Formats: sequence, C-alpha cells, structure tokens
Amino acid sequence: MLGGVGGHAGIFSNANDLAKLMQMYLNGGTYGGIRYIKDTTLNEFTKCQFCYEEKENRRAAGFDKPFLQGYGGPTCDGISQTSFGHSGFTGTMAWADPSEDIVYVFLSNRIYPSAENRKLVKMDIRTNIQQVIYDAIKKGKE
Amino acid sequence: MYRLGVINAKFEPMKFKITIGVLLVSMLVITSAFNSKINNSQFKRINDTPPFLEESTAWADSIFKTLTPDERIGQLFMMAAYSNKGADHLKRIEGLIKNNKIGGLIFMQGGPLRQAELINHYQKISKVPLMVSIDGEWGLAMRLDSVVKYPWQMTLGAIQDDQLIYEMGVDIGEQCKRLGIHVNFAPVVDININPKNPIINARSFGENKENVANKGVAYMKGMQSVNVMANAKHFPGHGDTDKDSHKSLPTINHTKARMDSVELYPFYKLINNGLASIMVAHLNIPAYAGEDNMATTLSKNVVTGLLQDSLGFKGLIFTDALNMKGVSSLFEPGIVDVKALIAGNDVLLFSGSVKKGILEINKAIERGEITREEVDARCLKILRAKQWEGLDQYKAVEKVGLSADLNKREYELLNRKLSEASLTVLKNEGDILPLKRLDTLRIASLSIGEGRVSEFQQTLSLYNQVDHFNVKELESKKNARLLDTLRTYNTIIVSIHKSNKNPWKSYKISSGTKNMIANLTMKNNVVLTVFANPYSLIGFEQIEQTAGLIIAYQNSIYANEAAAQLIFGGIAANGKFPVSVSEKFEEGTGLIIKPLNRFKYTAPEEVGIRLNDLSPIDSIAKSGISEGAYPGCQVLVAKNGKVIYNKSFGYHTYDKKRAVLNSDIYDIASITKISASLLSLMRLQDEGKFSLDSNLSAYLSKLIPDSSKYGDLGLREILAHQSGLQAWVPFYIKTIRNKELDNIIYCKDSSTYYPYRVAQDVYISKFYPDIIYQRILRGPIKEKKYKYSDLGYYFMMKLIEAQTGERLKDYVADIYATMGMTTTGYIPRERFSLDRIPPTENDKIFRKQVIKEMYTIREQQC
Repeated sequence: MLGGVGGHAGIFSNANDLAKLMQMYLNGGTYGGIRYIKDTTLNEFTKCQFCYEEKENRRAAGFDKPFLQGYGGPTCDGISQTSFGHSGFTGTMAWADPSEDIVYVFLSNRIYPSAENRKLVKMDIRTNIQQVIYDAIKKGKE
Repeated sequence: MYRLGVINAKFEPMKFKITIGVLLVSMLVITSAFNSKINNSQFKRINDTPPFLEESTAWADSIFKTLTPDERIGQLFMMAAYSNKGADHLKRIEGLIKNNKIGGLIFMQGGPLRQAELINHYQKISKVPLMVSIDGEWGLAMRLDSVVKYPWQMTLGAIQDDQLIYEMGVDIGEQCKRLGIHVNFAPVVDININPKNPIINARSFGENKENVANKGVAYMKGMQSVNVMANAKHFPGHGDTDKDSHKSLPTINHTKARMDSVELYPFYKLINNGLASIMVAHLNIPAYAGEDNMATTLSKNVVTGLLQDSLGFKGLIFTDALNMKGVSSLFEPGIVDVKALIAGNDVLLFSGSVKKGILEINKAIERGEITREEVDARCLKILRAKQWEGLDQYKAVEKVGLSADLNKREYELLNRKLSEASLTVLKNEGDILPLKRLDTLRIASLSIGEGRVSEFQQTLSLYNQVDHFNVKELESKKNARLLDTLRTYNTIIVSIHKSNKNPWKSYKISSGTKNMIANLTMKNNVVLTVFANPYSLIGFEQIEQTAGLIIAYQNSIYANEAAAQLIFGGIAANGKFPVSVSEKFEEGTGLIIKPLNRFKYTAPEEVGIRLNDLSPIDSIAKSGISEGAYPGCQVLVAKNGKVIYNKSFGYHTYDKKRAVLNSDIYDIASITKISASLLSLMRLQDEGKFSLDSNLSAYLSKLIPDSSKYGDLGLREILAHQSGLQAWVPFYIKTIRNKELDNIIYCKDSSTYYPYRVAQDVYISKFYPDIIYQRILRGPIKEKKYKYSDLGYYFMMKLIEAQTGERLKDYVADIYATMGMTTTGYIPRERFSLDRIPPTENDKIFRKQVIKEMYTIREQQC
C-alpha cells in the first residue's frame, strides 16, 4: 500500500543473494573487497539493546537475536548470543552467527494460499533445519 | 648429485630439429659411447631400493618352492582382462590362469562391481594369488565407469602445491586396494616436449623436467604409502615424438647426453625415491639401444644396461603391452617374449601368446641365452612384490558398499581442489580479474562448444547478472548478429569447451571461434577461459588481445565451476603453465590472482561438515511440503564464507505445476527490515547522518508536527521494538466499502493519480501513502515495553529517504548492485518474469487474487 516499497517489508530475493548481504554483516561490513559498513557500527546495531532493563526484549537495533532465558525466540537452541538475523511473515528466515561463521537462509511462501496457515511455526521447520546445521558442525568435529 | 646435462630443462617446441650433418656426428658418438659402456658413476644413487625388497622373503620363498619350472615362467606373464566382455573372454582368462598359471591380470574397460566379481573369481581359481593392475593415470576412471575421475596429468602439472598430488596418490591407492588392484600404471613421467605428441601429450605433467619429476614423486609416494605399486612410464621417455607406439615404433634421435639430462631425469628421481615398478616403452632410441630399429623394450642395453646397471633400478620392470605394433610388428608372438625377457624385463605384459612365450623361453634357456636361475630370480621378485601388496594375506573384494567406498565425498573434495589449484591466468590486463565494481558491468557470457548453458555459465550467475549465449560451434561467416548483440555489453566472458572424454580427443579451435575473439576484443573487454588442452593456444594469436585469459586445461565440471569462481573472486588462481605455446606464453607463466572475499561455492566437507550430516535438512524441508506448511522452499547454508548447501524443494503452488528453483525470488517480508532499512541506517550512521541516540524529530520534522509526541520517540527504542508503538494498523480495512474496494482510493487502471500497483488491475491513489502516515500519527503511543511493531519502520523509510536524498528503493538497489545481489530488491515484477516469483497469499478478502506483490496486509509479528 506504499507502492510496493516499505521500510518494514517489500524486498524480494533468492537465498543466494540474501546470503551475500548476511555474509557482509558477518564479515564485519565488507564483501567482495568493498567496505559497506564500519565494524563498530555493526557491533552496535547487532547487539541486544534492552537486555538489562527489559528481560523480555531480546532485540538488537533492528536485528532479531536468539531467545533470552525463559522466553521464546526465533532460533534453535544453543546458538551463540552474538548471532543475529530476522524472520519474515511469509515463512522466511535469515541468520548470521559470527561464533561459527554461519549464514543460514530459509525462504518459503507458507502463506500461499492462506496466511492463516501456521504449520511452518508449529512444526518448527526453520529452527529444526538450523539445528541440523549446528549438529552437523558438532559431528564434523568429533 | 645428478648433474644437469648440457641442455637446459626448458625447450621450445621443435627446437631440436637436428640437421642431417649433426645427426651423423651424433650417431658416431653413440656408437663409441656403447663401445665404452655406460658410465655408472654419472647417476648417483641415494635411496633406490623399493619398499617391497626391504621386507622378509618368507612367504615368497614358500610359494616359490611349490612351483614347477613352467609355473615359475607363468608368473612372469600379466594378461589383459575386461569386465565388459562375454563368456568367451572369461573362458580364455580362466584357461590362462588354470593352464598357464599366469602371474597377473591387467584390467581394461568395464565397471567396478563387475570387475570385483571377476577378480574374486579369477583369484579363487588361481594357484598363486594374482597381481592385478590397471592403467589408472587419472584414477580408475581411465578404465572404469562410476568412479572418481581425477584431472589429467597435464592439468595437475599446473598445480604449485605438490602435497595435493601426494594426497591424490593416496586416494587413488586406496581406491585401487578397495577394488583388489595392486599396481597402478601411473604416473606418466614422460616429458611432453612435442606438442604434436599423439599419445602422451596431456597425460604428461608438462615439458619441465623438474616439475614432471616432482609431481611424479608425489603421486608415486602417495600410492606406495598404502602399498599400491606406482609405475613410472614410459621408460626411457615417450615425450618427444609425434608417433604413437601402439601403431608403430617411434624414433627418438637425440644424443645420449640430451636423453640423460632430460628424458631420464624424472625416472632417475623416482627411482631414488623408492619407485617400485617401471614400464619400458616401445621406442627406437639409437642413442640408448646402440642400434637402429631396436625397440627399447627388447634392448638389453636399455633394460639392463641403462635402467638396472646405470640407474640402479631394482624394482619390477614391466614391458609395455607386447601386442602393440611397436614390437609385435618386429617379431612373432613368443619370440617377442623371449627377447623382452633377455633384455631384462620382469613382467611380460599383454603377451601375444602365453603358451608360445613359455615354450620359447624354455628353448632360450636350453640354448643358454638366459639361465633358469635368472628366470627364477625374476619369479621370486614378482612374488616378493605380491607379498608387499598384501597377497600373502589375500582377501576377496567385498562387494557390499563398494560403490560408496570408491566414491567417498573426501575423494571428490580433493578432486575439486585439484581443479581449482590448476587454474592458470595468463593475462590480466588492467587488473580486470577478479571482476570488480559489479554495478558498472554489463556482462554477457558466450560459451562455445557445449550448445547449452554450461556449468561455467551457471556458476557465473551465482555472482551477478550475466546474460548467457551459447553455441555448439562458430562458423566464420554467420556470426554478425551474435557479434552485434554481444558488443552491447561492456564485459564479455567467453569460454571454449572441448571434449573431456579423454586426453586424446581433438582440441582444435575453429577459425570461427578465433575470428569471434578477434572481433570482440576490438571494442570490448573480453575474459577468455579455455577448457581445453593448453596446446590449443598454439597459433591462436587472437588471445593476445583479450583482457583476461584463463586456462582451465580440461572441460570437467569442477574446472567449469572453479573458473567461474575465479573470475568473480570466489577463489584464487595460483597455477603455472606446464608447457610453452608461444614466446609470450612460456612454461612457468601464471599470474597470481587473489580472491576478493566473495562467496566460494563448494562441498560441505571443505569446512569440515559431512554432507550426510546435512541430509536431515532435506527431510525436514520435504516434511513441511507434505504436511502442507508451504508448497515450496529454498535453503542455503554458508560457513567460513563458503556456500556449502543451496537447495530448493517443492513447487510454487500445491498444484505442483512449477517446481521451485534456486533462482526463484521470494517475498522475504520482514527480513526487509535488516536488508533494506538497517543496511541504509548503518551506512547513514557511518556518514554521521544518523544516530541511534537521536529522536525521530531530529530527522523527520517535516512529517511529524512539533506538537506530536511521535517526535520524541527514540530511534534505538523504535528499532528494538521498545518505543510503545502499537503492533500494527489494519489500513486496508478502511479502504473497503461494502466488501468491495473503495473506488475513490483504488482504480483498476494505472494513472498519475493512481500510480501504485497493489495487485493485478488494482492501483492505489497517490495520496494514500500520506494518509497512512497521518493515520499512524493520530494513533496512540503506549507504555514503553517490548512490542514488535512495523509502524516504526514506516518512519525509517521516510528517514532514510530524507537523509540520503534518494528513494529507498533506489538507494538499496545501488548497494545490492555492487554486491551482485541481482534478485534482491523491491517490486520484482519490474525486473523479472513473474514465473520466478512463487505467489504469496491467495487473497480472498482484500485484493481477491493470487498475490505476487509485496505482502502488506495483516503483516504482524512472525
């Protein structure tokens, strides 16, 4: 309703291209030999902003963060608190984890044909897949 | 130490045309050289005892004692077996094993499982366990299907890290062992000096003797580390000829000094590193044989004098196949075998007739041309080799899991690394590689030879928008239209693809292709990648006008993927040209290209993750589809800057009409917050045009009246959903009257007043966005506590546009372009076919159609 452009929604992408952006964030602001953002700025924006005052608010400045103790969150268990990303109502998720140097992107059109379809969340698809990645890393180190 | 001869290691092709006069003189020198015997001290020995001669002889001795004199002669024969032939062949081999007690089999074409069954069968009926061999220069795939196909040795010749070659040797050794094979007739250590060599050529590591020797040693040591015999061939050097010893007896008319210093060098090196076996070629080398038209295989001067006495080789000596024209045209079957044996060979490969061979050898013993003790000694040497190969504890090949064991993921990972490490950059004008400033490039790719979009082109597309063109072949005259189209691009990536079937296939580049390169390079930047034999560049002067020139040596999938990644800076280039093709491009040329920190696309094993351990992703993704959680999805995982998993599952819709592809474009909804808004805000902060510690009023005084409490909202609070903004406002409800879209707000045609598309045939008033902001500003601000809200991001768009002076859509599009994020952006229908966009809601309430536009209504916490 804003002509297809919003600060909150409106971007379309495939996983590969979105991953490049997440990798740039993960790299501390560089990709392909170009600096896009200062690493100090990224550090400030990707850390939890109100964790001390407000136990329920896990969010960074715009970026989502893993759950806090006792509250729900967008990621699988055991993921580093340094990680950040965001999910989307259409059934999407993009997550970057500096501690394991991982970028994870899941895209779907879960709201086809109906936005009432909540199975994606009920089945924990996005987080279960994320868990597989971390389990695989662990197994690889064994 | 072994001294270099008078001739330098590096040769121009055809530099050694010897004039008749010189030839006569050199022939005289040769004759006198042989009169005075070869000077032994010239070849200093360091460690020339092969490992199989350093072990106990107990088993070999005990077997030897059970053999009759004829059976001892039988051990010297190794015959060819196929796993793709019928019952007659099987019977023939059974006869050779049962009746003639042959010592071994060389397996030719076929498949691994069939071969395993045959090996088990033949071993079972053999009195003494058989020594099994294969020509596996680029792995078992040289003969067998369904196994790992490593690069040809010429490709490996470009690699600067010989450890990779060693690891390949280990892996090939393991694969041989797993399939019951004990000898691999590799490496080829011929120095390919003649570009027209019809049979060695790309099977050689190149024209530099040090490079050939070092890589040969690495390959050999790798295999022998797992008790598989390496075999250096084709002694004393098949590299400088334009003839094929399968068809005739090639003549090499070099002096002994030249042969000693060049051709012999790699053999010398391998022998002094514990080489276990060697293969003698059928060549006419008067300088060594001491006579003309005497095959080296049958020459005592060569096999005994040169190889054993001078070079000190103590390992197993195999003849090249005795049925090849190079020797079979000289003598009858049987006679050839005797001559080879007398010359000093241990193993008689692919005899024309074992029966006649044994008969003639017995006759020769009677005639005193060779003693029985000598024959027995060779039999014992073969048995000792068998003991080292593990045949003293023979076990049948386990068929269960054979295919998986022969095709381990680690093998393929190394194979990929070998292709990457071989990439050689011969030109890089203006530092064009890796491609930079993607936002300024309009790139076309022209693939010649495949007639389809090549893996090379597919990989290019992972990095940027690249328009693909491909042709099977270019005829010189019919290319005007293609040329015109290509010239509209400022960067053209041309690739030449030749057959990857085997190194003997033609690699000739057509005049049509050459003309195209010439025409394109006149006005455009051309990056050319050649997936073909490096000698294809001889006489291809047009390459000198290219901006970037990459040699990938062969047209394997790994080479295709690697070269594309090199062009975009996903991987480095470290290879050096293993041969010379012109004055400009000599052996050793190769520019180092550093990667540009863009994604590399590879196997998960490269980052220490097993693909198998990631496979639950597939089942989870598929379960979501079967349970109706979504019709299709895309999953990507990158670790350490490397994409290790990128897959699509399902369809665009549940009616399964169109499968989803990795290139499909999804509505990412709220990920927009971090991929557009936050990207912009962080950059603005770097430029001093934004601060998390400011309030909205600091940037949006025009939009927000001084009196509004919205101006006091802190940006940090807004972005962290802590500002008290309500979750959302159902704007769309106010635009519906009597269950229909309000026709003051919407129009079915686009116009100046109704510019914004909401859906097919639904356009919204140009005033509506302002109305939205007014409605938000009229709304309440609640208690400052955590509440996910989109509303703040409506203001962020305005803020970004105010501070950048650009539309948000355009501002982020410019950034995405520099990163090669081709698909990412707002309003994809303006840039892409709708086929690539999986639909979101089938909206029955508001827009009443299947939606491929931004999903705006009822967006809420997710």
